[in-house]
Amino acid sequence: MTEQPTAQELPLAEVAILLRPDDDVAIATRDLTPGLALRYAGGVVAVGTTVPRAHKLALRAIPAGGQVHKYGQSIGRATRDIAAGEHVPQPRDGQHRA
Amino acid sequence: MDNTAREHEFGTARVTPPDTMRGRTFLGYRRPDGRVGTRNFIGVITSVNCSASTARMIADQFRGIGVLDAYPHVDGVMAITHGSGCGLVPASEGGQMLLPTLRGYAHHPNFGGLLVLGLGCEMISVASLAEGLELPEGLHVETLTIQDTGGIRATVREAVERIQRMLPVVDLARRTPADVSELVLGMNCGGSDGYSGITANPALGLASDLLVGAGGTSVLAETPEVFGAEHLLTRRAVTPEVGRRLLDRLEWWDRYVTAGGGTLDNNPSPGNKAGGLTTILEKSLGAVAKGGSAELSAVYEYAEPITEHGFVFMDTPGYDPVSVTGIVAGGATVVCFTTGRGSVLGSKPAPTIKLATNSEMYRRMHEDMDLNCGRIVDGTATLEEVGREIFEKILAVASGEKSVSEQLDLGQDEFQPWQVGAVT
Repeated sequence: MTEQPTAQELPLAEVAILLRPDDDVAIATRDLTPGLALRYAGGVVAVGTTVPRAHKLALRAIPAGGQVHKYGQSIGRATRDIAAGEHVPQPRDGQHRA
Repeated sequence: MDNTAREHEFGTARVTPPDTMRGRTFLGYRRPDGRVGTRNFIGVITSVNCSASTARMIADQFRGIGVLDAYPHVDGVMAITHGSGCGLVPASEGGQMLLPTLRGYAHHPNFGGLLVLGLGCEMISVASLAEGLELPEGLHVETLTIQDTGGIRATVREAVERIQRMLPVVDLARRTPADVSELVLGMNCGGSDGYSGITANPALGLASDLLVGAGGTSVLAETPEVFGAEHLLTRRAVTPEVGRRLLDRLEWWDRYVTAGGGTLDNNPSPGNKAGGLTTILEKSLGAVAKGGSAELSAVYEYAEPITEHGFVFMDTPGYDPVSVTGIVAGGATVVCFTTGRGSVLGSKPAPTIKLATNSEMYRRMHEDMDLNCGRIVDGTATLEEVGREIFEKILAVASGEKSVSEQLDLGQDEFQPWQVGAVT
């Protein structure tokens, strides 16, 4: 993803929690909107969609079927391609049943 | 997002936590059996519910401002009462669970003296309780039954006299430096919210790793809340047996809940999903995050004595007072309790440290909270900083600093042994 010239760059830690350094997702601590660029040890991620507070922001592209890591653990597989900077989609009811 | 299959592997994800806190000490009471207590209480322990009111009357004589001023090294006199002890099938699961819980409290290193009180005709008799305790020498134990002593009034008078004789001796105990490896930390969460899994729980997990890395013991519990992430714990197991023991407990729960007409289902609720949780695994990981990343050294049944050092698991229900009672019976000398909605639990004789998951609740209920982990979401502290703060708080409280639930003298009513099995 290319960073837009008008993007406001912030440290990721100010607006999201990265639980483990290698996680694929960070948890927004406030509503995130497109136009923000978030800097962290792994690089810069441009927020591409609205991510509500407490929801997950993808830090890197995850292909459909790819593992999504949080807490340093896989919490499931992506059901479609997820772009870096995107809100990790919520399942429809029943879709995620074990 | 979808769930991945839960494959059970044993010992494939063992992590040794950092030993940066090795050698740290706290000030505790070393008991004759070698264990180290963090408080010095006198317990009035009851064999049966029929002696509960009398036990409270006895303990009440030692409450109030100034009553124990002459004994600055005694934390108080506490009644340990419950709703059972008779009319239950001794060999049933319920009978097999109550006695270890009472034994666990009677053995707890936070007691410097004990009075065992019964009615006289109950199934779990004072004699069997006192004998079954196998108490170490040096602990002052008195036994009384209401029927032999001549009724409630005579029993209260006699018990108060005996405790008054016990007090100057129990007061001789002194705190001395003990290695942090002697600490047994119990962990629990209750009134959880969307922040529990991203603030207080992972921060407590870091503190747990620091304690385990220094040779101490940290106890994760609440089996129903682990459901869905148990395969991640079995991967951390030190031996296949330890991993299988956890799976055995989950199978027991499945049967237990099914027999009760329910299902063991920890899938995210609509409220959880609105709060940002996607999968059952993610939700359970939020609870398991309290346990950090250290390898799993042992799995215990409810109230079973905790003997292994390291990160361990105890099978308890999710209901807070019952869960914490089992953990303390197992030997936890400090309890860390994470809460989002605002739990007001206390667990004497073991101090409870309450960790708020969000700043809004902390501000509203700050008189009931010890530490605000909501700062992690506010961006004013990092997970690592709060994790270290929790570790330091554990050492301070273990050394005698009063937690808020202790300032309010909570824990006597919160002694709630798990009641299962046949009652007659």
